[in-house]
Amino acid sequence: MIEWHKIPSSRLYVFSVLTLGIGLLAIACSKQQPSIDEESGITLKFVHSITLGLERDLMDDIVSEFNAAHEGVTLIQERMEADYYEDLGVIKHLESGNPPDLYFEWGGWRLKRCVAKGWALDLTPYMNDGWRDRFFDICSDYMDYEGGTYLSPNGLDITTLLFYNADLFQELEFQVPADWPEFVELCKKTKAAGIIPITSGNEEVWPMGNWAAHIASRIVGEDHYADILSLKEGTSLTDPGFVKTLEMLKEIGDFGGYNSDINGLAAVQGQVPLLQGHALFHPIGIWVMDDWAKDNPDFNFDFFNTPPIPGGKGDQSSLLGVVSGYMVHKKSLHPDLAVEFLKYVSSPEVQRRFLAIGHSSATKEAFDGVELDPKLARIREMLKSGHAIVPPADTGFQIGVSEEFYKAAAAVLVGYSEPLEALERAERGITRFRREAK
Amino acid sequence: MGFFPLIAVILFVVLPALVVLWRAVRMTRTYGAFERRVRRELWGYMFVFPAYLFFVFIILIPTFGTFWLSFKVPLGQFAIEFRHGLGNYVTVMRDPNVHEAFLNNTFYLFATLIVEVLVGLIMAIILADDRRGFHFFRLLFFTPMMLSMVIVSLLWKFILRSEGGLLSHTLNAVGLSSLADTPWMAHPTFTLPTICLISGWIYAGFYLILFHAAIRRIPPSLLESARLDGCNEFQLNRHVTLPLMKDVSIVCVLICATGAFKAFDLFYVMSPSGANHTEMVATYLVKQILDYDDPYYGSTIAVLMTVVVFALSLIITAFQKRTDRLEF
Amino acid sequence: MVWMVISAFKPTSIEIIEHPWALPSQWTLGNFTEAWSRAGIGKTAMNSVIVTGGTLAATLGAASFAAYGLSRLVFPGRDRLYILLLLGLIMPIEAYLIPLYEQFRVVPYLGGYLNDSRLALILIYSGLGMPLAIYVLRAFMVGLPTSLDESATIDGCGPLGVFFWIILPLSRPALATIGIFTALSAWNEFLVAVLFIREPEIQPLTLGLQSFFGERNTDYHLLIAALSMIVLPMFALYALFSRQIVSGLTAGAVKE
Repeated sequence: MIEWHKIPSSRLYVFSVLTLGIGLLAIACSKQQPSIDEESGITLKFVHSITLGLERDLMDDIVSEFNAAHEGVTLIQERMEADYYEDLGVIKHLESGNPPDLYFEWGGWRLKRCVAKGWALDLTPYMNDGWRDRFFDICSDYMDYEGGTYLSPNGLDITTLLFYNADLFQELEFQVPADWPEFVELCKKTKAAGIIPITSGNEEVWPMGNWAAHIASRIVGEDHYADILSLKEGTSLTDPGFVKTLEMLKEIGDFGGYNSDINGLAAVQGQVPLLQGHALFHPIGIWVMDDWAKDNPDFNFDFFNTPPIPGGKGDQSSLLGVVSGYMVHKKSLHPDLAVEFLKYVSSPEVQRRFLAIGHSSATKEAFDGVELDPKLARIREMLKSGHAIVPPADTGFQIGVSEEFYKAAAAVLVGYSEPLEALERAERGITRFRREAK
Repeated sequence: MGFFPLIAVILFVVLPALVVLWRAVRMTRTYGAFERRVRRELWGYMFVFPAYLFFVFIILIPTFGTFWLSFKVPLGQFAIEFRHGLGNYVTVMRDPNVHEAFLNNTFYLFATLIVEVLVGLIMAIILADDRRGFHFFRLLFFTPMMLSMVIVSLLWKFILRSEGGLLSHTLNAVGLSSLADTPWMAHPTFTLPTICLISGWIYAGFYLILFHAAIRRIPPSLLESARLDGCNEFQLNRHVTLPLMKDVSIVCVLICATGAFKAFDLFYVMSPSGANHTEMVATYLVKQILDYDDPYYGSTIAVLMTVVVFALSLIITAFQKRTDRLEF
Repeated sequence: MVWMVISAFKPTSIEIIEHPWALPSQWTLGNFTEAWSRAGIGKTAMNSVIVTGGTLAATLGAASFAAYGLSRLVFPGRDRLYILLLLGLIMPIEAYLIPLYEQFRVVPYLGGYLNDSRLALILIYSGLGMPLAIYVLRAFMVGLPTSLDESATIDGCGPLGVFFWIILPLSRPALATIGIFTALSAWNEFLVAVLFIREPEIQPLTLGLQSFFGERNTDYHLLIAALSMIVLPMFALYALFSRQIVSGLTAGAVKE
């Protein structure tokens, strides 16, 4: 017979586990520390996705300056990882019962969704005092929707330029190509010299997808491009212009124009062959300039816009760009203060500080009176030139549609699918969005 | 959803409780006093009750909720209005991505049966003894399971990339330079098989441990007598060890097969956009929820996935019943 | 793992990408301190410990209760109930994530809602780990000789007493096995956490790591440093209990 009461160590064991468990459960259930002092008057909540680097420090400074200038007002920031913010993160915040006053958004389809779902405050009444005139004219397409103005632009990113290794470029005695056939010719020569012509890290399909979108808009024209991607009736992804786009990309792939693991690298890893001098061109957005200035100050690079495409219907000097900025939530209790903050952020003085850390700006005057790095100066000239700004498919339009198009481009790059075949598959993939759009 | 959880609570919690109580009352009447047998039965229900509650609230009710959501069809491109019906099911049947995902999952299932379960079994047999150092090896093979998926993906990408990757270096060094440029992670032909192998690297250790435990529970006397009968090591494994491990093998196959259809995180980190046609059912489903803001379509895929996983496990457990050995 | 720890000493992110297999050009400890403060590892690790601990307690508690009931006590519908509970083993979590979220979102809790709390994570992780725990523990308890509890019953012990004083202490190996698996999955879980938790104060470690991923860039050197710090406690736990794991599974499946 077991004398169960003579097992003291087991008893100790059971009791200690029980107490520990109950204790931890109790801690878990205890009231969470509120992250802000509730008594300090008005609080505004600001959600965004600036999590890294100098931009983060700058935003911290701006917020604390704003708080210092306004007695009894506390603006608190909530940061989220960008990928997640872009997808569900911001939606979760916006539709919650306690939404943020200010939030970061992109112009285009996303802005329209915010307006349609009742998350956006119309800023028109606040815009009259000249606030609106601060921004480049090309921004207005992205700020407005159905007669209202909803966005205070902060960034104007050019998302695809062709960056190149300037030393190699000189060594090969190349000139900036005047049109697409010349560019392809350069790629062939580069390949012959034993150098990878184009490198990219296309694992997440947007780097090359953006470029494909830009080429497509050049071929079919900006308006038709927008019609196709917003699923207007009678349009299709298998549009001859889109097919031609992918054929052009495939032509480069056919002679081995891309790095062999293009679809297996993260965007940042795709830069490595360029930085190491194994590759010549790299299509990417202008944000890399500030990374390179910080991490690889000796790297000698330059850039040009996607070369004009003969026979294209669009503006052949158009830029692929995204206007992003901040919006005020419709349910905000203190819209005046929120607007005041936006006015402060978009003022030329503050925007100059963004320029100083290598960011672009949507505020015209920010570029005045500062010693601009020659490369930044060229970018500013591009923005001022008045050429069309084409939104890339992934921020300008419904994400499910752009993803299918980008995946088609990725499959063509490595020679896995024929252009038409890939686009037909993409078209079948977006059929459901078409039905919903009716 | 609205009133839905309420119905579910009544259905799964209140109703069973009433049935149990009614039975107890009836039995008490039949047997006279609140008799020992009744008390024992009630104790049984009481012991299972907390776990049952967890199951009902965390798994069962949400599963029915998913079913419910899958009939809601969003209208318009901003999904503000809805219609109820079978629309999502019609769409899902025609969606090429879903077809591709199910094919990929099936491939992954068979691949993992080989690289996880079979490899785990073989390693378990090799490392069966309690020789010095074998314990260390078993520990070693289990470590990949503890690494975060982010690290796993980083590590393997650095090994496999064709520009300066470890594998291409090695291949060059041994003179197989024609293979060195293979885009292991970057071409639809190679990516899925490569990820399957990596999956084997991660999970084979888990099956190794399960099989090792099974080998350990074979009575040593059995092996001893077989040895005395003149069995060599191979025959020993073939005729004694393997047949005895049939039930644990079926459990492993079950875990592996249903796990294969649930595969998510590995693919999510290795190939986030499915650029190389590695879309899985689960990644496509999560994409609907996280990226496309369309949980309704996601729920439809989820229902489909649940049905498949369910059918699969029914088939596998049918084998088990035939062997009539293991409880499940 | 060795690669990970060595890489954690590299001074910049770009060095890891460019020369992943070389030794660091310069051994820096700064990564660890910076990663620590950036991801708020002090705070998030505390949250993870609480969540993992709570999950362990809830899972082991409820599962061992259930396993005892299902293996030792006789009541009608027992086997059907067991199979029902095991259904959870094959249900994919992604399949019911959204209704789960909706369900937690409507429950008011401590001035907020239940979804945004550590308790929610504990409840969910426990619910998810429960089927496996019940399976292993029940298999183990079936294997324990019945003579022990019979004699205890004769001694005047009720089912509760038998459970606490006989079965639970004897099940220690199986509890350790399940404990390890439960702790590992709760410690590394990401999907549920990212969907449920908004409040920065209660984020677990896996969410804290997100601060190393930028929109188009990733601070690999900090990320790897943080990951090294995170994996070590789990590894230590595993190395400590590795023998228990095998014995927990072994003894468990012994049939009479």
